[in-house]
Amino acid sequence: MQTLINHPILSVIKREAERIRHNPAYRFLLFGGPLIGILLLFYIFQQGVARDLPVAIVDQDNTPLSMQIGHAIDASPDVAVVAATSDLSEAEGWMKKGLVQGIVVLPDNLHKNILQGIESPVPVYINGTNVTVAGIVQRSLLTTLTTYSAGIQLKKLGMTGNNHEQAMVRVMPVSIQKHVLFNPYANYGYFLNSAMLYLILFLFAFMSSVYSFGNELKRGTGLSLLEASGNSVRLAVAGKALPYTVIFAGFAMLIAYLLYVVEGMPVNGSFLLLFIAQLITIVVYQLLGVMIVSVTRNMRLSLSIGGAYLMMSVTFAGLTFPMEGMPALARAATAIFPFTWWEKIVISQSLRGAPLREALPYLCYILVFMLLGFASFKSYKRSLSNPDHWGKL
Amino acid sequence: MKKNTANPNSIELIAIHFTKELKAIFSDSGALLILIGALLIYPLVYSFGYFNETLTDLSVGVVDLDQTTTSRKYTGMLDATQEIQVTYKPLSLKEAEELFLANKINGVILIPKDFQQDVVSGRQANVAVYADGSYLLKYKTMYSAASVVNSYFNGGVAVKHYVAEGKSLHQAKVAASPLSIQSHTLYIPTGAYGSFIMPGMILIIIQQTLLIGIGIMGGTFSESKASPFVLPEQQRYREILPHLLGRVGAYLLISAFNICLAVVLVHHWFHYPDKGYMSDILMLLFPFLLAVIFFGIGLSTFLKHRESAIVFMMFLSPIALFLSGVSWPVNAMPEWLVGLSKILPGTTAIPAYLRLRTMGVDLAHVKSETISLYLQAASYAALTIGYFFLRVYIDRRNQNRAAQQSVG
Repeated sequence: MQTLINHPILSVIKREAERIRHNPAYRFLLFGGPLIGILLLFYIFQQGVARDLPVAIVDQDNTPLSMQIGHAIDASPDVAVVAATSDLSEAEGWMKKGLVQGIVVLPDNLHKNILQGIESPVPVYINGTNVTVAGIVQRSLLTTLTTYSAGIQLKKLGMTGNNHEQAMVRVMPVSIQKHVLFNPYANYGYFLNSAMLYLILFLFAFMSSVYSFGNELKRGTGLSLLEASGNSVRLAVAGKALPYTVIFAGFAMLIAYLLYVVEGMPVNGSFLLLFIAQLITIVVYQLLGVMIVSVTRNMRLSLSIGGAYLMMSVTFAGLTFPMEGMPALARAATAIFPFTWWEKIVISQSLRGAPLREALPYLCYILVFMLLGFASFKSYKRSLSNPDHWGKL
Repeated sequence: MKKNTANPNSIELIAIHFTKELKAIFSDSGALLILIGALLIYPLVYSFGYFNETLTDLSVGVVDLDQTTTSRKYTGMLDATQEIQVTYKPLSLKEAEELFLANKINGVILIPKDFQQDVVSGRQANVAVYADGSYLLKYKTMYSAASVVNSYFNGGVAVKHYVAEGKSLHQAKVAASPLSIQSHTLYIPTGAYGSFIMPGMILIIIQQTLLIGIGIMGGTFSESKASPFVLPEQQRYREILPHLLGRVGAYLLISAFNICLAVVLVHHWFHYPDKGYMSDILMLLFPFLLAVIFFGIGLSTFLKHRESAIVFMMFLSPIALFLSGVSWPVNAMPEWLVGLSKILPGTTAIPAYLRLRTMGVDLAHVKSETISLYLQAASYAALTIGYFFLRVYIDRRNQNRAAQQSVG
């Protein structure tokens, strides 16, 4: 019992707790920062879908029919008709000022032409600057207009003696049934939200590790650390890292609560595996923090390089743009980010509900990064006790 | 310069602080990496990741249970699209599922039995599309390709029916689609991914690296740094403005270099949209940079340690990117958050910048944003200058008191 209380790891933990208490930057890295980041991202994606994107109608026809089309467009939840004019160039000006994202032109004589069976073009202009917005506006406008067009066709077929069902088949001989696998709501929010929340978590796990291990070198307190740990670098690292691991595991649970309980993101596979994987990934990023500090022996440089490394992992995890679309070299580069493998586990276990054996290799790839951390222990110990490596920024 | 003239005038003071700041930046590897290196590394690495701009030839499996000329034609039409490629023709849905779980195909399209017979005899046929929703871009690409093929196919069938009833081909076409919807996507007709996300991202990178970089260079009143002022205590008030102008000048010079690199060269190398006039773009970027630099200098006065800038601001970068609406529509976010995000100049600048660059509008169409940015720059400048005056006043008062106490 006595030996356990006096175990060096406990004195390192106590020492670290004391340091955290006295430096506001530690407290920000451990509490304020992750909390702010997680909540901001949660609110950004909470709504999940864009609604009421602004569009303009250029109504040159001014008939009950053209007004009806305008109402039908406005009724769709995705877009809202915010302005109407009869002058196309005025509407173009609105688009150039960023006030509207789409323009529907209902030309002169539209109603008359439809009645007489003359071709009636309806030009639709969509602002393609933002692909996501353009996609939503285009889908919404085209769906409304084709439905309306089919309605006209249906009515005419009805007049020529077809019953409703026959007319329906004439309008749409083949229908498409959409089955969205794994993410039934096709919710982009799930997708980005889960990735970004965990990115913020890993970013803080990494930065707090760089900060706490780097600070020992910056302030030249390495000898006191080794003294507390009984001259064992392994115990020193473990004791310093443990309080952070525990707190970040808590934040991981908060993220899991927000995603799976509040947002209702599915867990089709094993939550246990997800839980273990997130713990391992946190520890891996902490160890990578130790590694970069012992390589650069410069806390500020480590923070900049490390931050960049973390930020880039979003692009290379293939979330916003799938890996299949990347050039071969970029696809190979995706492997050097633990985050890539972590995201594969999320998709495999949360959305897909794939068998465990599909996700286990990804977990092993993450574990490989741990070796980099272990390999740097010796050099970190040398820096701790070498005054030449102290005080560098 | 300080040694030559005991009492430098304001212009000389500006020059002193300008060169001092630049020298300090260039002798600090961490700051250099963030202020200049980052603008070289980030845009190149990201552009590289988004190099193939659109998703083409996504492999899908078609389960053709009908095996007729019509169903084969339908399959052929799917294969002919740019977006998808029929790489497997599994015989059953079960087999398709196995291929899918083995990541051989990204989705499955099922053509039912009696497809041809239904189409010919006027019964509705159902084609099932199974798309992978766990990667949204894949799902969207596949589903929209299938929808386009389907509506073409339907159009063809409908026209044939009308022709069979004795209408001319033209009449049949009009009858099949009473409204002939002509969709035009302006400004980025190909919907390319890299060219849509990168221009806005580059501006966020400029903003964040400036904020962090200025913070790293240290607050003027930071405890770990010697006082930057060259004039004696009594004349400090008249040095505040030259001090700030000199530093702002230094960061503007660095930004000019970064603009050449990230706003001109990277766009040129990766063929990102570049429709606006460079003079218009600079007219918008100037108030943006001013606002960011004054904001940065103001913020840096609150940081105790230099590395704190990275600690406090790095994590805001992805959040700032989303809030500027570059990849996720602002309409989908809570209003209070959008309002709050206006603190960062990028939120105002980026939508206007994208209109200039990718839509090619002229300066008149981004007037309100330009004015907002000037107002923002002016208010950040006023706040920073006010704060400097206050600090110098407090320092002087404290010193006077200390002097009085030591005398007394």
